[in-house]
Amino acid sequence: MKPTFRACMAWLHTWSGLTMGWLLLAMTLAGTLSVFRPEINTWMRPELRTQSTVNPDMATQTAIQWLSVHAAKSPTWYLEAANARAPYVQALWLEGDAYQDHALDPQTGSPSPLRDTRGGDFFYRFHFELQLPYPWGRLIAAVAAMALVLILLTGIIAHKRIFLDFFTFRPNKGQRSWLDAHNLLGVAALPFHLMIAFTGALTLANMLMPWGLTTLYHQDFSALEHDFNPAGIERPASGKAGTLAPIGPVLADINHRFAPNRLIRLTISNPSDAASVIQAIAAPSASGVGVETHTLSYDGTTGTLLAEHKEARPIMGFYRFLYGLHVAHFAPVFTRWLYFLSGLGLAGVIATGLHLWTRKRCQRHRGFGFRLVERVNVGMIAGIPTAFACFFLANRLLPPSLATRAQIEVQIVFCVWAILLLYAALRPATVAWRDLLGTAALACLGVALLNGLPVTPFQIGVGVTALSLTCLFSYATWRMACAAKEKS
Amino acid sequence: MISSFALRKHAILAITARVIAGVGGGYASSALLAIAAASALPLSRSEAAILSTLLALICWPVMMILCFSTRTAVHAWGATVAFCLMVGAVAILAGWRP
Repeated sequence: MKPTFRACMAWLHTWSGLTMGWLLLAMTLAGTLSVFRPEINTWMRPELRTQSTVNPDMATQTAIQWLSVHAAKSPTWYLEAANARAPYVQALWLEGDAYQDHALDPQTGSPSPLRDTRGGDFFYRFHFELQLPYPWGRLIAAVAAMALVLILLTGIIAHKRIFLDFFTFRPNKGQRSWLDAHNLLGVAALPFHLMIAFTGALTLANMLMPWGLTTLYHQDFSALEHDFNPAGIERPASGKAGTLAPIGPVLADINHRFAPNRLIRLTISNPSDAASVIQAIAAPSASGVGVETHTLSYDGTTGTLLAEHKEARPIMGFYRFLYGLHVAHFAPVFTRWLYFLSGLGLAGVIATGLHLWTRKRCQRHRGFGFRLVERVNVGMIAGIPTAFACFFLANRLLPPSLATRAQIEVQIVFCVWAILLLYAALRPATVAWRDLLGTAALACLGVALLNGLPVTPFQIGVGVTALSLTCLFSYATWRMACAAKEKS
Repeated sequence: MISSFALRKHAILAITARVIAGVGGGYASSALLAIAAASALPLSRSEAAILSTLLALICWPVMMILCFSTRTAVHAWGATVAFCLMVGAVAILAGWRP
């Protein structure tokens, strides 16, 4: 008997979903948190006096003053300008052989008053580098993004009647309910899911599909760089010492040219050389989704404009638009919450999908494969949110002056994750579900408590999210506790 | 019993063949499509590079679906190889040399 097209797609959906599901779940949750990367960055540095309004230009000036004393030897400084979401300058520079990535206090320009933390950048980096060395993390993430496109497309075909059944939810019907939830969450933000998966693959396309680029550019990286960044000035160091022009007038000119948009990133190459170059990139905005559509280059020592580029090439503009849709720098606060909720929805689709795989097979013979999937599911679906919540807890509980604090925070996440996976492997699934979901609820409650009285918008956001997740996980724990009781 | 085992073995082989055709062959198809489009599109270098990459990224999942929708695994391989030869020929005609 020849299987139907739909049955083939269902098979492909099931097995590609199962093999990539756990990885995609972790990436989705980290990516969802990355929507609020600047806000999490700020929340994780309570030393910032967020009440006082920070002048972004003043913050950039103090940061550059501090860097010219303490990082003069670095070949490049990368600065993310302060804004209302992150009221400080984030700077990256080279010290010896090691990159230093720190938030700089807007008042002093020094990183020391602020606690050492990766902040929201941890989730952002994990989202596409998976804490693995270059290029492996990015390659795996790119393949996972491509797989998500495939899983979504085959899912639309496989789950017949998803659009018709959209308004159907049959609770307390076991497998049927899980399938309804899977379809409901999947359809609710389906265009978002397809968009985020495809644009995610696109952001890593140079790793995944470099063949178009290599065919046209071969090894000519400077031509490639010039075409992608036409206002970029590649100028080798002259060897003669030089001092940077006063940055105030340069910033004024940048703001004037970028208006009504603002500066997002400043790159200063060879800062203590006579051939220094200052490059400025405009932030995307609600009127222009694309990233890096307007760039400026200035001579570092004189402060005169060397090059300006506004993106007018249609396909390059479209590429920047797609890239901008993924990273959502353009999004005003309401849109960011939509991204966040849709991202949680995608995590829900993946989690219910993984759970359905076991629900469908729990009546049959339970082999090693079934038990493996069942237990890893518990460790991942309940474990990842708990481990991520522990990052927030560690940020508040570790002493602010602890040495290598930032690394310890990250280690805590992976230790917690590993312990929970191990626990899930050793206990019967229903018991493990109950216990780990309870742990997740407790961890989220802990974040809500440590958050303190919600005064700033950052605290309100974290508090509301943490409490909502506490309720969700508590309800799930209660349901699993009932199931565990029935079983015993 | 033996025949059912043989049938099972055959099914596993067929599925493995489809997976390899979809993942490996699909990637090769997409890569060759990227090269063909990059060589043949009458656009500036950067524009052609971007457009060819976008096309290739769409091509891979579509090839994957194609490999699982043909009647037999042999057909899946046939379609993949035919597509590779076609876009490969376009690339070579447009001046690309491996």
